[in-house]
Amino acid sequence: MALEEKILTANIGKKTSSDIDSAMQGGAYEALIKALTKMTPEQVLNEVKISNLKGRGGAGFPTALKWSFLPKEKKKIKYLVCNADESEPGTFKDRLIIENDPHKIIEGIIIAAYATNANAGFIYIRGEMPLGAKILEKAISQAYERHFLGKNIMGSGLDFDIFLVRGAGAYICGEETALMNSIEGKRGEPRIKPPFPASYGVYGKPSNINNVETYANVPAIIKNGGNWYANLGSKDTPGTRLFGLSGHIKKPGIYELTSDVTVRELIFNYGGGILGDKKLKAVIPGGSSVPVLTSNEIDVEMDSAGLKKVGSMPGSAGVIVMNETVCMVKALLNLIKFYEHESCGQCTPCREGTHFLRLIIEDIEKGEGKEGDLEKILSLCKNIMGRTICPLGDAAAMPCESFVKKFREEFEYHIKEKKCLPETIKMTTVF
Amino acid sequence: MALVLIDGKEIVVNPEETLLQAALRQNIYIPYYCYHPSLSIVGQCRMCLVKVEGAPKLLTACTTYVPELPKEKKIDGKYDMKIFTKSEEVKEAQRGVLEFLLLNHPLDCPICDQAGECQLQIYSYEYGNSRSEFRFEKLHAPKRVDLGEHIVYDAERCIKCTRCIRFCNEVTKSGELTLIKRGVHTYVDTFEGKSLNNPYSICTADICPVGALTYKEFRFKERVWFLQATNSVCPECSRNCSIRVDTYKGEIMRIVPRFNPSVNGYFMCDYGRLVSERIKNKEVREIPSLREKGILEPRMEKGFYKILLSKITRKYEPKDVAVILSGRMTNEELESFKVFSLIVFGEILGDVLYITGEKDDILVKDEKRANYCGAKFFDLKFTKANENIKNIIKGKKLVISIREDIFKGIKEEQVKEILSSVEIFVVMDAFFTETAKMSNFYIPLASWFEMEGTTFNYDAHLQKISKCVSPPKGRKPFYDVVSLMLNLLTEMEIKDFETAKEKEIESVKKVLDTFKERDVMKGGFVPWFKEVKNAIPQLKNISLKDLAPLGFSAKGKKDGDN
Amino acid sequence: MSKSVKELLSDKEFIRKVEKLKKLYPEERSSLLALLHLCQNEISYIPHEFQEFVAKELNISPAHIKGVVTFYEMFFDKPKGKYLIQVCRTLPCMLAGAEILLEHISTKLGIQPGQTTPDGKYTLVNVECLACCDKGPAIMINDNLYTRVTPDEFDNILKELK
Ligand SMILES: Cc1cc2nc3c(=O)[nH]c(=O)nc-3n(C[C@H](O)[C@H](O)[C@H](O)COP(=O)(O)O)c2cc1C
Ligand code: SF4
Ligand code: SF4
Ligand code: SF4
Ligand code: FES
Repeated sequence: MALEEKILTANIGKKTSSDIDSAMQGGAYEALIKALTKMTPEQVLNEVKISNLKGRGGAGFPTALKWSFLPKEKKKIKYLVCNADESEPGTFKDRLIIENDPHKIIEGIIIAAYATNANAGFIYIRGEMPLGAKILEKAISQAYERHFLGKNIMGSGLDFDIFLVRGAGAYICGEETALMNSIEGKRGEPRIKPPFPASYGVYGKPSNINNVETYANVPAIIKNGGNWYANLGSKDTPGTRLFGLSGHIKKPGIYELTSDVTVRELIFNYGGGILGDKKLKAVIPGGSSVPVLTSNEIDVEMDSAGLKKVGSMPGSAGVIVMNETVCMVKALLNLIKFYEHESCGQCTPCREGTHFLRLIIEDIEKGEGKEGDLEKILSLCKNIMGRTICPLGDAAAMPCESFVKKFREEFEYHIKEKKCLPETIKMTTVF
Repeated sequence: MALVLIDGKEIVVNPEETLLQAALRQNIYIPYYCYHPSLSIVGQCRMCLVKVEGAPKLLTACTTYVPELPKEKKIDGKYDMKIFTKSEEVKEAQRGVLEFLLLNHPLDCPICDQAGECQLQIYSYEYGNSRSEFRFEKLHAPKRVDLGEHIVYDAERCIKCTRCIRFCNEVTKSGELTLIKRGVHTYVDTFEGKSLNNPYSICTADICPVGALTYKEFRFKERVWFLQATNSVCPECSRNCSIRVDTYKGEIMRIVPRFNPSVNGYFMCDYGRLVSERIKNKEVREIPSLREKGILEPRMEKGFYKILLSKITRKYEPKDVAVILSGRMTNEELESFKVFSLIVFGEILGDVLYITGEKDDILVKDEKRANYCGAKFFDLKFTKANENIKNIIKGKKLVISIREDIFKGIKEEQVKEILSSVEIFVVMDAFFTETAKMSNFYIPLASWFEMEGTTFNYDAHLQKISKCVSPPKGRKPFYDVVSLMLNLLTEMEIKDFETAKEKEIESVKKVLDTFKERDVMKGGFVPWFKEVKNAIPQLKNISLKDLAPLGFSAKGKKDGDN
Repeated sequence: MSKSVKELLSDKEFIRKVEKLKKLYPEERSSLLALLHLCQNEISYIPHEFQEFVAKELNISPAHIKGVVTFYEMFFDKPKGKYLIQVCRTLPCMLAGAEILLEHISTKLGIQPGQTTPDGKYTLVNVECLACCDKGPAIMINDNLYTRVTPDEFDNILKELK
């Protein structure tokens, strides 16, 4: 059974939780003070390593390991980047922290700066979150006032600044190198890797990038110790995550739980079951980019090992629930339109492939699908996956492939009968 | 230095080069679009995907560097990487990329200028699928967009390789181009009111792998497979960019830069490239002409030269003669001029008109003629630019102007004034210029593109120019004119012209006659230099060592024929 | 009526803001997005004159600025309505009923996504996931986020807009 430890949402729900005084009453910056006064940077890094914290941005990369890739030399300019671009369909967890407990993020970043000897940090927040930007801006200036930021922070010798950058509407800017280009005032086009950000990041300087939620976990780890964290819940993805439930669910929202929660528990225990009391049809467990699950595949835990068993992954922990009234062709069309629209257009397979996929799926949806279309979709996916500059290509192909493979009969019905399955003609909505 | 086994063949990959660069260098072909050797690497087109043993995904050869493995980790005890470029997986990826590229491509090859040299067409044939399964309407995008004075853009044909954009950002640093929008809707554009007009803009059409960028001066002129290519050199400045001249039925259709690492790299300037267009608009006269009763009348060649020779050979004191020479003259022409001058005037005369102008730090040099270095080599005197014409001519009785339009833009009354002391004014030029029209004797010469020869660039780099088109019979290279005149001189009886000279004439004639067959570039510089020295006594004292400051010792060998 | 770009560029207060933003980041070019936002906040779109101005300020080619402006969905290089109504169209909102909502808005305003009402008051666009999937359908009107927007709810919101 999953734990309902409140690490990230402890202060949330309280009034004025974004204000520094209120945050500090809830314990904000205690971990920072502990790190700066009682620990060496190596010890901080080591605690994070012991905690086995995995990145919450989607790829689940071990955080301490990523930090350790930065060059050790003190003199070298190094940047920390906080990815607050949150644009993955079905994902709305970072917004919660940003708008309600921004100091947790700032504190996490400063602790990371201490551990890595970084000079400055950037928080890149998506353009469609003007409120979040305002809150962060205020929080940053409050942190300066209390001398948690600036020169010689709390007498520790650490100099560190945080800059806030607002995006302007581009999902691809969530990709780490596109984000860096965007910080530099460029088109948000991902860079070829290698070189990786740890050696060539913002302005070509070594940089580390983590998700909002990743940084927000750091203060608790420092406060309570890496061991405490490592033993919370799942072995491969310890600690709590902010699971976002959306779609056809009775109680949508964010649930802070450990990753050993199963998909079924999430939906039925926490989410209160399926909207309209219909049958569950499909779940996308980790943001739109991961392979979809059928209703028979939900008895797995929401960590990497669990979801791997059913061919998917935890991604950004945005769980999109679809009941039996959803036409899977239409749902897929919605998603592929998203990827077609968000492809930066740099590389051929993604630029043209997402467009091609959309055309075919649209045809099927309109009742103009042809025999062989499903094979074509699968072969296009093969030609996109692993052949692009950044993972957006994969992110577009994976839903297509899994939808077609797992709901093949429905797609075939569409092609043959030129219409939706009877039960999907009228889809459940919230009103 | 890493050792790589690529399709069973061993190649060496240096630390600073990518797999693609190393493969191409060692004659192993991997298809590519966005890579260009003189531009930054972006890895966007995904055409160069290859299989690297042990890697989970295919890798783009253009972005892959090969680090050396420690001894114990070497593959098969010796290799740092094992690559497959023809495996089924790679072929499928290549087919995939091509299918994607053709998706929204109009396939209008029959009316596309690039047809025949289009990388999309070529790769589709070699690596693509034979049939296309696309049943959807293609996306429409701007067509026939004037990006600048010369360049026209077709967004539907564009494969978004960004070569043109990188060219403008990295080579000319003028940044006129950008991709706009995103995803499948991206295309290349300029900013409102700012067009693509840098001095190298046409190079974007060269490096565009498809027919998306074409230039107006060549658009729809001729299908490329009908063109005949000849290698030559640009005459318009002392850079001497290596070029390829494409002709059709004796007419120059276009000039394109020819890769030469030690001269121009991959590019050339628009001004140089469009020399063929400027030439086309120039007036020509194909027959030697003689002024009689105020009118320049065409004359039979032999009679014309006899009259000319009888009037100028040893008739004037050298101090009364001015000869204006041009940096447009090839080494062979300069050499034969020395012979001509020695024989006809008894000493070597001549002022090379030194014309300079704007330069840049890419290719364009301030010296606006190709072969000033050659003129230096032949020890000729230089006179700076046009304003000194007056001084050169002042008080002279005989004036000869070769390959320079010295009176261009000067009012007729002024010209008459300058020429007031002159009894005979001879003009030799490929074009019937304003200056030519003022002459008493006009001798049409072959143009730069109508003859063989050699030229030294500013850095004393020797290159060959070629007869790209044949001149009409009346127009000859200057050395042929000299040869013809020397032949006539032996027939003619000219007072004051000692018979002793005749022997000399015979020997130089022989040298001159071999010009046509002689291939300096093939024989190498040193034997040619010796030959020249023997032919021209005044050069006897110059040794190869003296030329070292000009850079001869290191260079001066055959190159640039690729 | 908002200012013209000429007025904007001769407004000392505005230029002060520009100067401040330019110095905000470790490198000047990082202020590009912020400057474009600033302009759009003031005059609702980013005219070419402003793009050229920024190009000079940051010493970047105007073409680069155009590439950036056209890349990001939130930037408009043509005038838009006083109220930009962005309706999330992505899966979670679609499951919540976004299509019905969009159709309602479209009929109500008499415009299709991408269009502006003739009086210049409303511009309707589709947006991708706004990161509030639990409260769909979500829309944004200028800087304000509205959640759980039913057609009726939208009519109420519309009444509030002057
Ligand atoms: C197309 C694309 C979009 C992404 N969007 C986001 C995002 O919105 N937020 C985020 O934190 N990571 C996003 N990522 C993942 C980031 O590239 C990066 O892996 C992450 O920020 C690293 O942080 P972490 O190690 O803390 O997970 C995206 C990746 C891709 C390929
Ligand atoms: S995969 Fe798509 S989004 Fe990523 S770089 Fe290529 S075109 Fe851009
Ligand atoms: S115009 Fe040509 S060179 Fe430029 S991006 Fe398109 S295909 Fe490439
Ligand atoms: S740089 Fe000089 S030699 Fe080269 S093309 Fe231009 S004019 Fe001709
Ligand atoms: S040549 Fe390698 S990706 Fe284009």
